[in-house]
Amino acid sequence: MASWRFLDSGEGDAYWNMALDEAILMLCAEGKVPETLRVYTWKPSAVSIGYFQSLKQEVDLDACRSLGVDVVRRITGGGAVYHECGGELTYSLVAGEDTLKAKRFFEDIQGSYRVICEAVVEGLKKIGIRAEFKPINDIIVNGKKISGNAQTRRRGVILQHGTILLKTDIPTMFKVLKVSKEKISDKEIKVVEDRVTTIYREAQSSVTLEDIKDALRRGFSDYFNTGIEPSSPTQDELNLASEYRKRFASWSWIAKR
Amino acid sequence: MLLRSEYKVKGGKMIKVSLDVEEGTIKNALIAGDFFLYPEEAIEQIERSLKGVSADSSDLERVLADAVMEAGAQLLGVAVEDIASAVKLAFQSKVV
Repeated sequence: MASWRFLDSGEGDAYWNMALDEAILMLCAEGKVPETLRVYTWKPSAVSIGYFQSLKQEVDLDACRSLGVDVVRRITGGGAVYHECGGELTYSLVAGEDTLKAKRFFEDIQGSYRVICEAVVEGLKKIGIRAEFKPINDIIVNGKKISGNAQTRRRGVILQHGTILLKTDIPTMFKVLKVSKEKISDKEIKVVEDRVTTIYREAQSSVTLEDIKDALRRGFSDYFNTGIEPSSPTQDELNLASEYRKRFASWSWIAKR
Repeated sequence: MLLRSEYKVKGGKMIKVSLDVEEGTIKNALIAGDFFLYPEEAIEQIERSLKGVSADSSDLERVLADAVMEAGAQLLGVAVEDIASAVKLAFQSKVV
């Protein structure tokens, strides 16, 4: 299929967001949908933890409950992320490994992170942000992290999703993630604030969420030299995502480890 | 008894090992953390390979390497030696 799809699925809750990514991955692996770049945000705010992380070791469930923050386990590895409603944008790319390699060659899994992250970097360039890929799975601006990324595969098709910070709420992040409680001092909040940066801080001029989404689309399009056309999820994707959503919302999955 | 360790790999990833140990050998193991492993389900096979391994085992690394290979798995952000180090560290830890 020549042209890739661009899906702006807007706001969703944590379970739906993760379910739709997996549905796109599975249907692309079956050859039923084309390569897809999706962008989305999280409502309500949520913590996502990596596939291998221990829920109890990483997340303060009481704090999440009292703050109305959902918790979801990803199908991808990596670390815990606080997805603040209005404070970040998530993208996901679903594409055949061979399709990607034909566009931008890479050798191994680390290489596939590099090329997909470089497409994000290309997108950020379009809103005046000079970012770079930092192995293993980060994107940084002037040494500060602006994006974390994670991926998995099904039958030769890669799903990589990543969070792009728009602004930070470190105090809330510290409440919902289990950083040792003595660490939650003004000084420690400052330390983390110094290690991360955001789109709103780095962009040359004021950018809207729509500007960022479009910049990503154009960045991926230029980097992979392919058309990426706005589209909608297929009925199959919506049905499959509804199915998967039940698993993502189930305690047995969330507390699996 | 439950033994735990947190092992930070050079480059940033964290391995958090929990071992359920009886009479000096591992009954159950959990290898958690923010690393990457593909396919993801292989983690259970790797954890199972640790069953019966004792604190003074000299072939811990080989056991883990075999399990990773048999599962056809690829690690990213951590190496087999790092997981072995995290397990050894847990054995040295105080009872939780």
